[in-house]
Amino acid sequence: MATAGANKRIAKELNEITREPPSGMKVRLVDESNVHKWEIIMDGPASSPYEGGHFKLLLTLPIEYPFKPPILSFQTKIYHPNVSNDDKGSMCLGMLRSDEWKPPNKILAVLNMARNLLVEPNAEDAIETSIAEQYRGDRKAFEKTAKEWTKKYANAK
Amino acid sequence: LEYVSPVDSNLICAICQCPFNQPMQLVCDHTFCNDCLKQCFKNQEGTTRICPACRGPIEILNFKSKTRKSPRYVIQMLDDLLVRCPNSKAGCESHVKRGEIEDHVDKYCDYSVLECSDDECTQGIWRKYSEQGCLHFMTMCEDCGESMMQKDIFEHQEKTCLKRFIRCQHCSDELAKPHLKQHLASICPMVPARCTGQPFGCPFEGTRATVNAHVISCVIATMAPYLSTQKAAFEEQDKANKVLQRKLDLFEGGLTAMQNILYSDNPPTAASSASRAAETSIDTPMTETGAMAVDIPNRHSQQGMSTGTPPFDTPISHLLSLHESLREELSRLENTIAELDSRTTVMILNEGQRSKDEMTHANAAINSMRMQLHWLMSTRLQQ
Repeated sequence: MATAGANKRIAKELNEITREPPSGMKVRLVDESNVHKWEIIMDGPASSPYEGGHFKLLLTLPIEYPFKPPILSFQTKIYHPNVSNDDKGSMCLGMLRSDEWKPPNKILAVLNMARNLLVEPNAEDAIETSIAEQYRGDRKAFEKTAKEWTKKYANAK
Repeated sequence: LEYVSPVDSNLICAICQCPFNQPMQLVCDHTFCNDCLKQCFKNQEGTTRICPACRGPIEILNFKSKTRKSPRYVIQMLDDLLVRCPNSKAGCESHVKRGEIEDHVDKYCDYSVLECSDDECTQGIWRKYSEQGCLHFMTMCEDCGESMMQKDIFEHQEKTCLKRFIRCQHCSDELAKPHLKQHLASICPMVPARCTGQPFGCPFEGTRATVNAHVISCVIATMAPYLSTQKAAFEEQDKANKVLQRKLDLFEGGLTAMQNILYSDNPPTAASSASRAAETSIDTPMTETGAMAVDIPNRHSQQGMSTGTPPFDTPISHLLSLHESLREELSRLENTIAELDSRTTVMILNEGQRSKDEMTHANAAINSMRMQLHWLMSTRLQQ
């Protein structure tokens, strides 16, 4: 019963998002038979150092969703204070933390939050402290590296 | 359950994103389905629970008193939502209120599966055939020869059998049941029909065949597509026209109001305000005339404001506008005076010129008369 309800909600959200996709994002299931793994292609927002890049994200919904938060990870390498600089590329802050997650939050809100973080990184709540340091102290150098990485990994032209 | 129409977002549970099912309200007034709430609290530990929406704490002690059922009207609204019968796949087409769906399925729905009336048979059967005894034996469709369970044969004959012919009620053709709908919709030549020009005045009625023959010769029918586009265009124009008319009325009203305010103290320029000025002069005591008459227009305009046609939001701005109009009036008067002045000067000059001319004329005449007199006198003196 519980999983049936959860699946129904996920299907509903997926339906809503594919019908009216948020700007600059493409959403699809990694595997049509599994609604718990979503693949998102996010375009780097204009006027951010990530402009022109196409970032692949993986959104994993736990079995307990919506009672547990979804897990969002960047599959494309990105130079960002809130994304871990390893092969996981995980992003964990704000509403995605399990102690701050609320069941009424929707995936659409999660995706919009991720996009906003690309525009405005949150250096206070960083996972990569050295990048956060640079973001705060030497914005120019940060933007330069971020642009380079975007060009290198996210095929920006 | 499948809802017939989209449900108001206020009746949707934030957790399951479906219309509430047994909604429960927490102390913080947030509402969720009973099951969703239970599910959510199952994952929490300790003596307090957290509201899924606002993270407000709820003591587990006396938990019952802190969550309650939603108000009756909410439940009523939810129960009034129309849903499709869960047996819709089997063929039930009813739309039932959510609150009554259980009754419908349990007691009324023809497509609910019941136990076979035969004690030894364990298979299920639709309610609508349940009183005909055990129908769970193989038989053969008498029309197409296909073999199937007796319980399925009614449905088969009714809807899918391709060999069971029935007579079309209009053209007496015989055809298979599944094809009948299409036949009636587009093929049968005897179905009653009307000329396509009917909305535009063609009275012709007949069967599809005769109408088809008629349409070729009917003037109205050939014109019909054109006429209907015209009609649509007309209606559009009419709508636009009405909007414009309303706008025009609004503007005209505004304009007259503005004129009234501007010229109300200048009776000769606006006839209407002159008449209204006359009305106000009747209102003023009859003893005050002469000097008061000058004040009357001003008073009138102030009255105009206080009785409030369209005017200004504050008395000050009204006075300012009054002041402005008075100043305008003054400059106009000045202009008139200057004009009059120059005109009279020219007139006087002309007049003076003429009298001067006349005077010289007279002078000349007098001179000639003096000469004559002189001449006569000298002749008389010489005599």
